[in-house]
Amino acid sequence: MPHPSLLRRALVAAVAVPVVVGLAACAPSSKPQATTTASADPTKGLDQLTVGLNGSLSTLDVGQSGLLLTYYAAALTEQGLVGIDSTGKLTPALATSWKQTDDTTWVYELRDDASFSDGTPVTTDDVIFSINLDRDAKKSPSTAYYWPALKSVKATGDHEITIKLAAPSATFGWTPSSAAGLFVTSKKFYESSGTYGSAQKLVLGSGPYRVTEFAPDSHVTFERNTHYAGTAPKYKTVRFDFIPDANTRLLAFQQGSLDIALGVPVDQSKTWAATQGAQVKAVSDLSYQGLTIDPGVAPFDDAHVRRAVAQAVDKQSIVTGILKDDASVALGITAPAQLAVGVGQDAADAAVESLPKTAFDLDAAKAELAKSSKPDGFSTTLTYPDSDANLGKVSLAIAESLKKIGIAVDVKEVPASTWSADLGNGKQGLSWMSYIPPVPTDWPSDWLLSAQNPPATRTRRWRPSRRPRRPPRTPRPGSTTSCAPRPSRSRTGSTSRSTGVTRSRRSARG
Amino acid sequence: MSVLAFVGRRIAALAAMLVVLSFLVFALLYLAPGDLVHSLLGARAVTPQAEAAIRAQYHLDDPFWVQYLRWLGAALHGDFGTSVRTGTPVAQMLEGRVGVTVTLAAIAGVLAVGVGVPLGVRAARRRGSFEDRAITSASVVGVSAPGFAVGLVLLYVFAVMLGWFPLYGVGDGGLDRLWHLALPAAALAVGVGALVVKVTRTAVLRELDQDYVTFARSRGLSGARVLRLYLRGAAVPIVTSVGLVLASLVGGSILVETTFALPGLGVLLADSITFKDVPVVQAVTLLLATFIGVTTAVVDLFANLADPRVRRAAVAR
Repeated sequence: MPHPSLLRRALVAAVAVPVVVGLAACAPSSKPQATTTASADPTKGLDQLTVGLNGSLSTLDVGQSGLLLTYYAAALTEQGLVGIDSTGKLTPALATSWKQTDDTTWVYELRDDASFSDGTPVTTDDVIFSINLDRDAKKSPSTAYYWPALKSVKATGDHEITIKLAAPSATFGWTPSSAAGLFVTSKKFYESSGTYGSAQKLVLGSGPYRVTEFAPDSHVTFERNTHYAGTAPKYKTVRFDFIPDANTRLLAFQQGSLDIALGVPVDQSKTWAATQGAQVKAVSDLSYQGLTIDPGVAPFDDAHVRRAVAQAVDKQSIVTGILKDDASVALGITAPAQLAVGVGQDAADAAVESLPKTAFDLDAAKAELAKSSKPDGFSTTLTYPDSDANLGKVSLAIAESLKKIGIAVDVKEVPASTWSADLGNGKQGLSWMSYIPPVPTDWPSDWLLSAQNPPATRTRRWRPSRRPRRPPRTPRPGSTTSCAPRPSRSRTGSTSRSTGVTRSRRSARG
Repeated sequence: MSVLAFVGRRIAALAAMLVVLSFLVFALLYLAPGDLVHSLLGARAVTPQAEAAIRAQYHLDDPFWVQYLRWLGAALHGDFGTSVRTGTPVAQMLEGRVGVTVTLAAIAGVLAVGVGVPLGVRAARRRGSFEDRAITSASVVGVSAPGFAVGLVLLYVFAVMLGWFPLYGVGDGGLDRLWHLALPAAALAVGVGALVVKVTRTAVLRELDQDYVTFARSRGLSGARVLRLYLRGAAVPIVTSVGLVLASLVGGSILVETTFALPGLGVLLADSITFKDVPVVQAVTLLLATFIGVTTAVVDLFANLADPRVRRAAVAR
C-alpha cells in the first residue's frame, strides 16, 4: 500500500529492452512496444519531474565518463553544434545551419543569441575550445573516439566555424552533436579551479537546464536555464535519483516517489505496469546479443559442429519465453532500423530478411553432428557476465537444447570484468557477443571490418561497457535510428558467416 | 605506562599493516583482468596515438615496482592522487561519503550491540526455555539472511506498507540523514546483531556454569550482584567478538548501500575496483583498514581493562 499522505502522481516507467538473442543472432526489433493507455501525458502539470535512474554517476563530465546516464544528464545541460532527432536526422542546436563545402570541409553557422546558463555568451572561442577538449584522449577519453583526425578547426567569421578533416568521413555530420562527441562549455569556466563535472564544480553548458546540485552516486538536480535560447522546457526543476537496485526502484515507483523510472527488468514489467496510473514503454536500443563461435577452437573448427549448434538453438522460443517478446530473432548483427537511415525502412527490412536463416531443427542438428568429427557429442563451456541476468537464462536454455544432441554445455556466471577480459582470447569455442550501438552512426560491421579491428589473436578492441554493473551505453531514445556507411575505413577484417552463425571472435557492447 | 606502550605498539603494527596491505591491493589490481586504457577509452576502435597518450598519462608502461613506489611516495606525502574514473582528486571523492558510511556503520553497531547483548544475556539466563529457543532461532535466521534481502523486506514493511521511513537516499543532513539511514542501518545490524546474540549467549552460559556463580548464589548475594560478577567474566569474549563484528559492518555496507541507493564508501569501492581505479581503491581500502585497525585496538584495550589476567599478561610481556 502506498503511503496515503503522498500525492499519487501519474507514473511512467520505461523498459530499456535488450532486443536480441540467439545463436547466430537476433536483430533488434525496431517496433517499440507500448503497453497500456495512450492517454494524455501523465507527467502534465508537474513542477518537478523526478526520474529514477538504473545506475549512478560519479562525474557529470561526458568526456570523462561515457556511461549512458552521463549522456542523459548532459542532454539537459549541454549542447553540441547539432542535435539528432528521433529519426536520426540532424537538427540545429548551437549551429543554425551547416554545410559541407567539399569532402573534408564542414562550415557551421552559430546562432548569435546563445548563452551559457551563467549568462555569458557562447563564443566561437568556446566552441573551438570545446571541440579540442572533447577530441583530446587525455582530457576526454570517452569522447575522443568520435573525432576523426582534423586538419584544422577555425573561426571563419563572427559566428562561423570551419572544420577541416584530414580525410573524408561519411559519418562526421553526427560527431559534433551532444549524442556523440561535442558538449560545448565555457573556456573560462573549464579552466577555472576545480574538476569539471565534479560535485564541487558541476558543469556549465547552454542547454535547457542548469545543474543546481550533484551528489555523486545519489542524485543530481536541474533547474530551468533562464538564459536558454530555445523554447523553455516544461518542468521547472528536474531531479535524477540514482537507484541501481531494480527492486528498490520498483518500490519507490509504486510508492509514488518517482514520476519516471528507467530500466524495468523484462520479468518485472507486469508488476510495474500494474502500478496505478503507470505506463510501461519499451524502446528498442538496437542492441544485438548472440553466440559467437571461434572457428579456431576444436571442435568448432568443424563446419558440421557449427551448423549443428546453430540448428539446435530455438531462437524464437528464447525470444518468446525468456525475453517476453521484447526482442526479436536477429538475422544479422546490425538492426534494420539502423540500416534504414541509409536506404529506408522497407529496403532495410527486405535486405535483412534476405540473409540466410537457420531453422530450429533438432533432428537435422543431430544428423549434422553425426557427420562431424565428434559424432557422439562433446563438452564445452559457456560463460556469461554477471551484469546480465537475461543472458544467464538464455545460456541455460541453449545448454538444455544442445544437451539433446549430445553437446554438454557447462554454463558459468563470471564477473563482467572477467568475461570482458576473456573475449576473443582464442580459447573459448562458444562465447557471448553483446553489442549496443552508442550512436546512430556506430555500426558493428564497421568495427568487425575496419582495419583497426586486428586479427583475432591480437588484443581486444571491442569491450563491454566499462562499468559492467551499469547499464551499457546506448543511444538515447530518439537518437538511435540513423546511420551511414563509413567508406573512409578499409574493410579488411575477416568475418565469415555460414548457417547463420556469425563467426566473429569479438564480443562487444557499446 | 603499559597502556602507552600498548598504544605505541599497536600504532606501529597498524602502520606496517597498512603498507603491506597497500602493496597487496596494488598488486591484486595490477594482476586483475581488465585494462585501464579500454576502461577509459571504451569499447572502441582505439587509435594507437590515443592509447599511447593514456598509457603515458598513467605510467602504465612502467614496471610494476616503479608504479607502486610512485604511488607509495605520493601517499606518504599525503597525496592520494586523482581518480582515474572521474578525473577528480581522491580527497574530494571521499568527501561526504565517509560520513555516510561511518554514520551507517555507527548506527548499525549501536543497534547490533544494544539489542544483541541484552538478548544474548537473556537467552543464556533462561537456557532451554521457550524464550531462549525463540531468541536462538531468530538469531540463526538473522545470521543466515543476506543483508540486501533483509533490506528489501524492511523497505517493503516500514517504507512502503507503513510509510514510517523513506525508501532511498540520504536526505538533507542532520536528523533527516539519521531518519534516512535508520532502515539501512537496521538491515545491516540484523546479521551482525544475530552474531552478537550467539556469542553473548555462549559466553554467559559458560560463566553461569562456573563454580563461582553457584558459590555466590549459595552465599545469598543478590541477583544484581551475581549478574555483575558473571557479566564481567563474560565481557572479554563478548567485547572481542563485538570488535570483529563492528569491523565487518564496514564491509557489509556495500550491499546495503546498493539496496538503499546510498552514496557511501562501499559503492565507491565496488565501482572503483571494477574500473581498476587504483588511487581510489587504495585510499578507500587504507581508510577502511585504518578504521578496522583502530577499532580492534580499542577493543583489545577494553579487553585488557576488563580482565586483570590479560592486563597482567600484557604488562609482563
